[in-house]
Amino acid sequence: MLLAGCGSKSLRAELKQAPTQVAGTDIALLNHLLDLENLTIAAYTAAIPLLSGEASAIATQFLGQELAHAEGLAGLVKAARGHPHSPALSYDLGHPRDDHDVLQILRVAEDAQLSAYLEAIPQLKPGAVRQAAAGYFANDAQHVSVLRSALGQPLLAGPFVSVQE
Amino acid sequence: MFSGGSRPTTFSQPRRSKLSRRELLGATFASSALAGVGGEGLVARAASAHADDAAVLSSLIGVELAIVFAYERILASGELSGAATQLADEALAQERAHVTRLTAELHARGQTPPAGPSSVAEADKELDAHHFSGSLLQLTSQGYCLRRLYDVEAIAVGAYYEALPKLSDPVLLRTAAEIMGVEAQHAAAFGGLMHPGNIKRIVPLGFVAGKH
Repeated sequence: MLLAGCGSKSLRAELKQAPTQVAGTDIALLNHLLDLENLTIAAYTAAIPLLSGEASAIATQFLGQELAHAEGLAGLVKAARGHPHSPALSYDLGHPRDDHDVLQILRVAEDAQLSAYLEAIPQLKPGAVRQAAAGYFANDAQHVSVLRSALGQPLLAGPFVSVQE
Repeated sequence: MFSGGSRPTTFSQPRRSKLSRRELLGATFASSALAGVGGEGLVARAASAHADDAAVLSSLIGVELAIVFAYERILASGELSGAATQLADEALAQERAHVTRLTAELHARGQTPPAGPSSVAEADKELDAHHFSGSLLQLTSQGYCLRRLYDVEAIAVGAYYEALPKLSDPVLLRTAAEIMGVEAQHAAAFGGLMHPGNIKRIVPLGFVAGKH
């Protein structure tokens, strides 16, 4: 198939080219995004043993990608001479009764990320940092779309990424 | 107990932001003020940014119009059927909404949007400038059409990815990000039609930057 993540470069290549100039004022924003990535990583990690078949495969694929996002964001924080936040020791993610509930928890986690990225992207400087965040954001938008479909909802919600209330 | 971690603990509801919106905006305006060189410098800088935003908007509209043309051409070919037609119809409606929103933003800046392609050759030329793989001239099968649609979505993602460092208006930046996310969703959706059930082909990698 065409393109790595729709682009012509692999994720490893993109991370190697990650911006080295990161503003100190971006540290708080980036760490907030990292906090949410860590939460989502915990959610996928907890979800995978509870899922089966295609849902399990989706969660496994997305977990790998969220881990890459966290690594990238941590790298940006370090480039700004900040200290990347560590994951919490544990997260109380609720009491899912079935696959549907598990997928809904994942969907909520991804939505929180989308909301945070949309707040952060206009504020991040320089432009390369904004691009880095947007690359992760666009991937998370794909995650939401696939999870929505797995939950029996329409694949495409609207012409502009919006977050389910 | 469903918990991410070995020790179940109470996790407070996620806050919307570690810093309040006021604090974040205050930091942004403070740094902008420090960067200014005086009233005239700030006005000149704002005017330049305004002109740059208009140029970027015009470029994005050009790409979107070529994409709309591609969708219309492919849908008119009759090669798509069933779920593929439904998805393409839906995505086309969203691409048109993108054109509408961006055009409104450009008008608000006193500029006129570019005209879209009026022929297949023009559309191919515009898309080729963004590394289009293929042509809209001969659409021979559903598979070929779906690969073209995936490709135009990759071009769309790339256009917004390239635009983000160039835009200065925060409202435009957010809009560009929102659209970029949707274009990525379109690509995944077409990937799902081409590779049903194969998530590794549908959402292959964790960094989505399109063709750029």
